[in-house]
Amino acid sequence: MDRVKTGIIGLDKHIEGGYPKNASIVLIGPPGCGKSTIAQQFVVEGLKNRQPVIYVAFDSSPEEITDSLQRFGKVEKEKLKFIDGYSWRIGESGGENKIGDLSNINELNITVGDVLRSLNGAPVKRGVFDSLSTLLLYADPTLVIKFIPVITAKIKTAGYNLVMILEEGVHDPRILSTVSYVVDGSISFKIEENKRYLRVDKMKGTKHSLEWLEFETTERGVVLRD
Amino acid sequence: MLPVWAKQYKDYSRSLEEFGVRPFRQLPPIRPNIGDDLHILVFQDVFFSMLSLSNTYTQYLYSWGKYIGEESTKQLLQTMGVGHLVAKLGAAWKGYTGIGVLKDPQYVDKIFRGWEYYKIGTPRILWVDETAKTFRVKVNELMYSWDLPNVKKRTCFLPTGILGGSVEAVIGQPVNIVESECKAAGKEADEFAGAVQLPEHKFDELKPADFKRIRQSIYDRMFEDEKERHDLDDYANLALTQAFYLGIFLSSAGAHALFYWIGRESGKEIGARLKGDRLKGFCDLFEKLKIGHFAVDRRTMTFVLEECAFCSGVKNMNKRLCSYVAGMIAGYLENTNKKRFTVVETKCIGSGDKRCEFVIHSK
Repeated sequence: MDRVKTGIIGLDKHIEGGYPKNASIVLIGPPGCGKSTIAQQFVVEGLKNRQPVIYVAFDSSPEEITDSLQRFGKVEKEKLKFIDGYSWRIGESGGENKIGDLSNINELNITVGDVLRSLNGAPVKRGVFDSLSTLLLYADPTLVIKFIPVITAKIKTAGYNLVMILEEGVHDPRILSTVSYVVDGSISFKIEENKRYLRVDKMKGTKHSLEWLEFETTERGVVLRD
Repeated sequence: MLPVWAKQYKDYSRSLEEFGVRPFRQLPPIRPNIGDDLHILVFQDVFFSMLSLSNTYTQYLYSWGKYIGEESTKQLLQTMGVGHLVAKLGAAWKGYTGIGVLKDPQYVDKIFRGWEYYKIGTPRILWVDETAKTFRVKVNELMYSWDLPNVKKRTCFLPTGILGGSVEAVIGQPVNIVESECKAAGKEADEFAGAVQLPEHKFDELKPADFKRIRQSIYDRMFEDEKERHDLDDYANLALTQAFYLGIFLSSAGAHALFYWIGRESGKEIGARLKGDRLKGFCDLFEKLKIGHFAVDRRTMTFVLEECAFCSGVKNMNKRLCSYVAGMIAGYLENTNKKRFTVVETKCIGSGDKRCEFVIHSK
């Protein structure tokens, strides 16, 4: 099976070299446990290899995310396209690829489609939803349940590898089961005694253990302990 | 030691910077008009709503408590400068070393004065055994467990962490703390047993039914006029809430979803208990709990919150911080109007504004 590197050496080793190609992965855990960092390393790994990246941002502005990405390496901005769902959330509007109303799933669907088309051609592409939880707060849950399979299929069909972030516990159980059903991989996070752990719960076509793996966040990003 | 996630943000408000120092120094008030008190039920709501989301949050909140306790006590010791060195030498001269430092009144004062100043509860050390390296602390009227229904479980994960962090900062060794007795387990007061070099203990696991009882009791009590605590009053200093809420908020952009969610769930419960002019009742409750002073433009459905408990005193960090309040408004509106609302915080003291403003969108 072809693999797409996660950008985290220890994690790649744990899952036979990376996420399965064209897979959708969900990262679930409490705030501050390292989910966004892992998603951002996934982005920078792609940019390093000149792969196009689409970043759907609901929790931080594109500028903040770009600054954060630069901690892990050079960011080629022409390969990185943002869909800005954050500005609406703080009462600002207008601009390229900005979502005018997060409760309007159709608008998001159309904007994602437009951006996907603008990044055609590369064999490997990456996408991040940061975070799906924020979108779920504002949109009608019944529409979201229909939307999640559609949008993940759309992104995967366009050749993308997708990482989505979910905050632990902040969901209608029906939505969580829809997400779990749709995704190819799932990684959980926890914090205990100021130590952080991740566990690969599910990864399509991959042999992996179900142990909690301790990791640290360093200047270079997430590093799994041996 | 500073946990890794805490290093990731630089803009922590003055709440934690001053948290350890405030009980010992005259610092300017955070809210000049409303005052710096916040009803303990607000804290209980945020705390238990968060815990109820997933078992993951038990250890998570304990870790946060430890961080708050350790960092604030360290900051306090640092501000003592030479005084800290003198105190250390004085304690050693009196024969207090290691865990024995807990027998030295001046160090006990450093650990507990904040608890009394912030009105967390009234703690005292019951005994210290230097040979067994153990100690026991009793806390009366602890705000975390006060007046909770008896769920036969120990629930004070956060103060367990705060106490552990503070003691570690003072004695300079790892300490394990166990909540040995808890009001929520039907005991008269809370007690904590501490020891050096004990294996990690497991926390009691609260079930959904336990959380349901606890949360229902919190919302019911919001509408009662009875005094909650006998000796301390029903309010604690809001710096405690800020140290906790903002710490989590600023550690991760994802905390917005978490706090908006729990705020919305609370808003629904509150909405269900309001009678008569429910909007007025909602605003009055904010006053009573001292979350802030609400002014509502009924035409544009814009809520303006003066002296918000969650962001007052915070410097401009270009962030909207009051997701819990935004969620509460959304939940209240959803319950009273039986349709979905989204609430956007358009102004916030955390973004350099003078007050918070929430704009309502309905579907």
